[in-house]
Amino acid sequence: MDIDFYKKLWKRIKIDKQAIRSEINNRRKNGEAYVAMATISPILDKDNGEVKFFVGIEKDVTKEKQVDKAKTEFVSLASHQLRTPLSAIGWYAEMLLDGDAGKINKEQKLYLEEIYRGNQRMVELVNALLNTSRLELGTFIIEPQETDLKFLAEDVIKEQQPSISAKKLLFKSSFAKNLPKIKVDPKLTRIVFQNLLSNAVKYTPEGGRVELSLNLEKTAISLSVKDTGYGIPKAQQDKIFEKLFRADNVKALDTEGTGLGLYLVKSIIEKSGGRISFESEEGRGTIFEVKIPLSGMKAKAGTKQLS
Amino acid sequence: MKKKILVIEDDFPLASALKNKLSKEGFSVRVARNGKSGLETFVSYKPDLILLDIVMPIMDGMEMLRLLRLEPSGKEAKVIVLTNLNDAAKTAQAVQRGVRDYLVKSDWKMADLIKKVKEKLK
Repeated sequence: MDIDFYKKLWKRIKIDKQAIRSEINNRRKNGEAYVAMATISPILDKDNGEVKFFVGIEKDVTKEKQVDKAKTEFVSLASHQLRTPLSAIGWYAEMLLDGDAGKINKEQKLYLEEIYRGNQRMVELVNALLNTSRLELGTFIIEPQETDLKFLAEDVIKEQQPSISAKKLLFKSSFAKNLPKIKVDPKLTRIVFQNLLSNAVKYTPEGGRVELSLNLEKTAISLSVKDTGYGIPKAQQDKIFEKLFRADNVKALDTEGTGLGLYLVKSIIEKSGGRISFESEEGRGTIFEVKIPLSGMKAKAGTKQLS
Repeated sequence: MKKKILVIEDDFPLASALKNKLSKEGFSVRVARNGKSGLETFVSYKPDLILLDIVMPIMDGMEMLRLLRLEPSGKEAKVIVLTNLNDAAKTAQAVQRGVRDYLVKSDWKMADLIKKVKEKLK
């Protein structure tokens, strides 16, 4: 752990007089490294409130971490392996639909389109699983570069336009004037924009309204995506960013969706120094807000890009 | 004269899908099943474009690309890397070896792939 970490840790315990719970990379007496989940609490003098001593409890979680890593690596490997047969299914379905192997009738066309769509969904799921494993293994890259967020948002909107039209949604976008270009990773930011907008479109019934706006604040650019959709049930709002979680009301309505979108969005935002929040009422709609600091994202080396 | 495309791909279903579709589109197509035989085919066949997979037995795509660039006739050869591995190190290596098109198979529709191939051969 770096010096900064310990400085913050001791400040919190000694000066703020707060307990701390954190993973700490530690060493045994024999020099062997291990990971501890530690809780350190200051015990205060009941008369003058000064710190008298500390109580520290730690649990060795090295094994758990290894198992978790092995599991994530397995998911990554399996997802990669799935891509080859998925490509084959997609390409052959496409060729049949094109009539490359002879003319097909209407019913055959419908069935093939179902196969093709099913395949597309699996491709998306595999990509989401790969992104998840990269975030968890810490192998993903953050490559900030000067990015025009308005341009990026417009591109994502264009991509969603067919679904917006198909559902006859009333769509509005607004962009603050003079939005500065900021240094963010365009790929990661795109994943965030794309997930929030496609969720709004997916979970708003026909004829509803969806709004996307970019606003300039003192220290951040904020993205807000607002819909008049199904909303998130109150009792499940605290679970919404959990991996593979999908709210009951949308599970009943719509079978598509991986339960990975918001998990990815939150991980990306938090690992790159931003913040995300939402308000939602079931049956009324949802508004998501993401704040990306004007100072941009911090660069991070790694081996894998998210896609 | 038909343009010639060399597909280097070890997965049989994918290789034949590419061969069938590209032939239908009016290209002449040869398939090699690994980097080593791809390199040999390149020398005798003199293709206008190579579609190159990365993970293959005997010799992988990256090694094939390195050796290809050492061949006098292979220095400027047009290559599209077509793989399911998106790894930053591999992408960077491909760029270093003069390949700007690095496509993930499962993300590419056949129709878009054909467009890309035609653009590349313009």
